[in-house]
Amino acid sequence: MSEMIQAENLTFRYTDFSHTTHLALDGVNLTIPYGQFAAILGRNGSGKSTFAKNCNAIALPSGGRVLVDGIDTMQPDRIWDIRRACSMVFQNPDNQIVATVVEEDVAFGLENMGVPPKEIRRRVNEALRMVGMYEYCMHAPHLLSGGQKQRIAIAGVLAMEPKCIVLDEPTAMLDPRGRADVMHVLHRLHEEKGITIVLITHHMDEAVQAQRVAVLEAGHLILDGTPREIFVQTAKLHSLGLTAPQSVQLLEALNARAQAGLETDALTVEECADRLEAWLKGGRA
Amino acid sequence: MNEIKREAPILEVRGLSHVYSAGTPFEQKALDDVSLSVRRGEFIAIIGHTGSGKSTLIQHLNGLLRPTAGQVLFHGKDIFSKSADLRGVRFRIGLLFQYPEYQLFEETVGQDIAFGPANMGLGNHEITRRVADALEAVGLPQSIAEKSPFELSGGQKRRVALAGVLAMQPEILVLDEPTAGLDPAGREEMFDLIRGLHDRRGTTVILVTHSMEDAARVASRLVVMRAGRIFLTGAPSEVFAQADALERSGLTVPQVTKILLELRRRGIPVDTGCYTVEQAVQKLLACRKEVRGC
Repeated sequence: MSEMIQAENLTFRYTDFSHTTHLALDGVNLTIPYGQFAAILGRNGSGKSTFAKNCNAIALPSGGRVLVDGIDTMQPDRIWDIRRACSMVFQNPDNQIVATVVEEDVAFGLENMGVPPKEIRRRVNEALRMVGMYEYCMHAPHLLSGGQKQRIAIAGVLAMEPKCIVLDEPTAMLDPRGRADVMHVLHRLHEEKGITIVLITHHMDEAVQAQRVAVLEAGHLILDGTPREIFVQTAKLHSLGLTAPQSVQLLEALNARAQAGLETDALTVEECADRLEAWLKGGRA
Repeated sequence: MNEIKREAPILEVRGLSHVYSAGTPFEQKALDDVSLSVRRGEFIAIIGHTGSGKSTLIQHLNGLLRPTAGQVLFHGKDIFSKSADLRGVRFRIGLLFQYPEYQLFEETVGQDIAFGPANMGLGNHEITRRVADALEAVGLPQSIAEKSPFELSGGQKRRVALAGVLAMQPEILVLDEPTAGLDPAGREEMFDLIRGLHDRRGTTVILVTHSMEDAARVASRLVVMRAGRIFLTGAPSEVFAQADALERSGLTVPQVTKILLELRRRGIPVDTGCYTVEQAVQKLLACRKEVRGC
């Protein structure tokens, strides 16, 4: 049985302006099974975006290989199968919108694929409903907010019915409300449609919502586990240019300061409040 | 303290209103009778979610937008009056837009930074000095001046854009979301840089941000906007004391603030006016003493 994305010993090399060669990815082994919601973290320059581009053959391995839906990305004649299985959404919504009317933008990929008009209509409507933008179908994209534009971009890939969507910092340019709306849509696609989600992000609160967190550093996969396993490692995260949720930091600080003896792996406000409530009311130390 | 208070404000906004597309079906009141005064050397953060009017407000501060009603006074003088030198005001109130790295356009970094000072009509010698000074202020090596902006990383490009504003040596620096899209380490560096400019050079800073947390960490006064009006203003601890009001108005408060609010909802008498982990630790230790009555 194949996996959604399977990177084996993946290496990616590039040459910069001054003709120096860099290894953006250096022997990465990372497998993402069908139906997983995975977050990829790492500081700028850690190789996250390069990994994303290798997931749908925008970048091709310099060494090792990547299988997407079981297809090796080095096969040029299969590139459209790969991109149909695994779509990408980028950071800047303005760079991804091509049409002057929302529904035409969502239909763009389908028209290129030669899908019959009736089927296009059905898929565009469904995709816009899934991202909560159906009532905007006749609007001009440039008058929408950043979060709305990003949801239109997601609808555009959704209409192509991919098995997997890779998103490269889709919320980096959005305000808190836009971020929350995009995250809500991603959960919905994952839960209702079973789509595999690979979310590249700098926002720890988004990674906390994933089933799995992989951390890249200098082209290597350095941490891989559930959010609960990853986010309790505050010192390690800090050394990687990342931060743990404040809930974990707070419980750790109370342990250090007052020997509170609290379990630190609380990722949500409720979990953390539960532990603090018990400690505040708890037996005399 | 009293002396600072008595000094006339460097910048004053009086009864400012702005209506977009007036007289059309798209008419929208973006600012509604906003008044704000800024003292020399202050570090103010303007916070609010999209559509709250914060960007509209700062675009009035150096005359990019004209008020529908009200005034903007710089050193006590209305910048929109007929006798005012609006072009000169723009050199003295430097505005750094969102994603300023997209606005670099010259062949070399040095030329890009020199663009502002050259427009001010400064001599070549002074321009060269200011470019060097601005590069140093943003922590970039002098050698970078010869490079093309395209050779730089995103974070470096943003610093170059900031250097371009600093080279005009503005009295007030207005920054629109200067850390948007940066990773946590990049955000930290940018804030250190801005704080350094404020502390060492005494530049008055007006920072616009979505993040209550970042604002509270760097600014001495917060101005929270909602629906085109100033909704709350005060020192960070005063503003955060009303954390539940902030949350209701759609602003994201830090996770520690939410945790303390949740405890309060559960009937625990904890003070919620805090925004850092360290402050929360103090509040919780104090609360535990009280709860256990010793």
